Amino acid sequence: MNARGRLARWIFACAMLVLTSQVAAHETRFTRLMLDMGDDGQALLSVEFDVLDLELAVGLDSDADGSILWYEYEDKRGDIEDYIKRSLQLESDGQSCQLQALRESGGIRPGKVPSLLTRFNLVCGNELNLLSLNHQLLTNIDQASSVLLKISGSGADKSMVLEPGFSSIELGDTGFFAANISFVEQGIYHILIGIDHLAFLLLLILPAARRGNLRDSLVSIAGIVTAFTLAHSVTLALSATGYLSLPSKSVEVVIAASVVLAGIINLIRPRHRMGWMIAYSFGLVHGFGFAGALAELDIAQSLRLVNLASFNIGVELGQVALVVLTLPLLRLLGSKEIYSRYTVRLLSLVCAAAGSFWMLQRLA
Amino acid sequence: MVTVFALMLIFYFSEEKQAETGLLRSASAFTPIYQAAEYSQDLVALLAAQRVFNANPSNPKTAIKLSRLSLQMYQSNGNARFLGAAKSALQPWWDVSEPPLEIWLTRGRLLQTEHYFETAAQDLSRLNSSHPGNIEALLLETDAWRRAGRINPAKKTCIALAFAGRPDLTLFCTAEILLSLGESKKAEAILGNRLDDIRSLGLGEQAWAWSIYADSLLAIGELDQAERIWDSIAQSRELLLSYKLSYADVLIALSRWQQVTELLAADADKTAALLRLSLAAKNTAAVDYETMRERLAARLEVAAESAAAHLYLREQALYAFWIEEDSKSALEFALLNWEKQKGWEDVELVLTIARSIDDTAALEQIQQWRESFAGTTAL
Repeated sequence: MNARGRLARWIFACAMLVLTSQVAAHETRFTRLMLDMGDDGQALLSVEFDVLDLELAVGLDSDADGSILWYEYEDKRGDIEDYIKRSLQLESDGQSCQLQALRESGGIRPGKVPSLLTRFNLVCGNELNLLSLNHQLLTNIDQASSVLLKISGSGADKSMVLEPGFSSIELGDTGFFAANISFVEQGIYHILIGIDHLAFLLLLILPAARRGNLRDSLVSIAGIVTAFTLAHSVTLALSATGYLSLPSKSVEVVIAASVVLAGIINLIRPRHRMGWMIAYSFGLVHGFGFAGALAELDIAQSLRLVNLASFNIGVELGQVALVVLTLPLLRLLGSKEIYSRYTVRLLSLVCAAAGSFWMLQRLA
Repeated sequence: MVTVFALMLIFYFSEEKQAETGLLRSASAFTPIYQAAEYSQDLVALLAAQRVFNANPSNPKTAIKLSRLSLQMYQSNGNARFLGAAKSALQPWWDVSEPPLEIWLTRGRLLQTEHYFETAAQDLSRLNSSHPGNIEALLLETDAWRRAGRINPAKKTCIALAFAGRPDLTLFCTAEILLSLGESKKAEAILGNRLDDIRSLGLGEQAWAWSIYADSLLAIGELDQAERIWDSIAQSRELLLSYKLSYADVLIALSRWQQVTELLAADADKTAALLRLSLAAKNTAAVDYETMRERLAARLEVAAESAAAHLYLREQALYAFWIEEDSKSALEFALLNWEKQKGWEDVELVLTIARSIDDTAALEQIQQWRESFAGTTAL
């Protein structure tokens, strides 16, 4: 076969490949812009590219060997910053803004396709109210390149997709309350959909609910909830702020194990008083689980203490809702001997079985 | 003590390394950040082509090479950046009436890939008039007309393949046209009698032909046989994502949720795969179902805002139907999708959803469309 024939075969092989695969999956991988509006009027702009995008647009692999090494990235950081400054023009109420690179706070987010984060101080001569933005990021390699802009802080939380060209964004100010209420809602939502967290808590309040009079019950349950809160607040804060990170799979396994253990303890000693100790010990691990939920919201990078506290308040409200909903029923049952003899054990058995199932599933 | 036990468990089961999601701010000079070769040699070739192109963007040879490689990469992993790159490389020739043949072909393919089927078909029709007998162009044109729902020109171009020396390809595209028109038994019969011919084809053509045969088996309800076909294709080569999704759809029809999960586990970052994984998780009451559902909903929400929103209509319909169990919304999306593309799976999607809620208007709409081509497919 001559060269022309081989080329024809190659073209045809490509035709087959492409014709048959159509658009089965179209994944828009956005460049992420995160504008973090500080309470002090300072604004921080983070730009996060997939490494492949930057390789195509700027060329990080200086020796062209197909591998991008740390030093190649370091060497190109100035080029990356210049590229961003050239491709992104910002104005505040008609006045041009400057991007001042914060090199020490940028870095690489590892992953299947790692991403490169570059941070800037956004310096405008006036207060940021109406932001005009001309984005041309990556249009040298993909003219339809869109960015996902997330704005957070100062009550201006919003996200939007921006096509290349000019966009105007009203930053507004919806106030402290509005800014944090969504974190509270997310906290409530995540405890209420987290059936493993709920099962764990239920197992702990089961023995406490039958205790003597209502006051004793409430004191015991308050102790358990407080211990759980204290513990998970510590690890949630440590994890969400990046000081401590644990593998999510392992955390999920241990959370399931905590349900099994709490169930077994109830089965052996349905009248035990160790609820607060178990709540504290495993609450530490559950905190990592909540941090995972918070990370899912994709806001952890710009997380402030007040947002974290709001999320935590939401989690607490969810717990209180569980107690309020279940305590009257448990108290009613608790007045009968049948409660500690059968109900605690039966519910504990069901929860422990569910916990075992989750544990095996998460280990698989 | 319990705390110590918990921490021991964590480290015992630890598979991921610490700070997996954290930001790496410093490392030793030779720490690899990304190694293209770990993914594929095609990616290495593409990065090299981009470098050559960046140095000389007006050279048609470098542009076509980059565009083809980018499109190939998009087809294999669905990353829209590569589709954009494929298109951008051809920008100088995008509005040229008669560009060089290879550029023209790739332009048609790009239009088709972006679901601009009518425009693609017309462009390719002009190409086939000025370069008659080009198999690739004829195949593309047939496919574009068929997906645009223009059955008569699709049939005409499909027959032209036989006159260009490939009667076997005419049979395959006829089967595809028949599938779109609901004549799945005829499609199955055509291909079922040519299995030996299919086996003698080259790998790329074979995969295409087998996939049409498997679709026809799925359409007539021969699920086990369709599953066997996909299984044997999967044994012989690594499946492209689109094929994996078709295979997964057969497994879904068979309620083999565990197999769906195993097949698509490595592609959870793709919306179409995540959709099917979520369905499997829902049906097995998996604990991570809620997380998957939320992630999927967030992705579709963002996708709906993007310029490529029309490429997600099928996924939007399936999400509403499978996950949200909101057949009314699902039907709206399915009909919008059907207006854009009329492959057999798009037609079947409308029919399945419409039947689930007895929407006679939608059923009649499809029926009338199909009947308008009655008798036109006989060769």
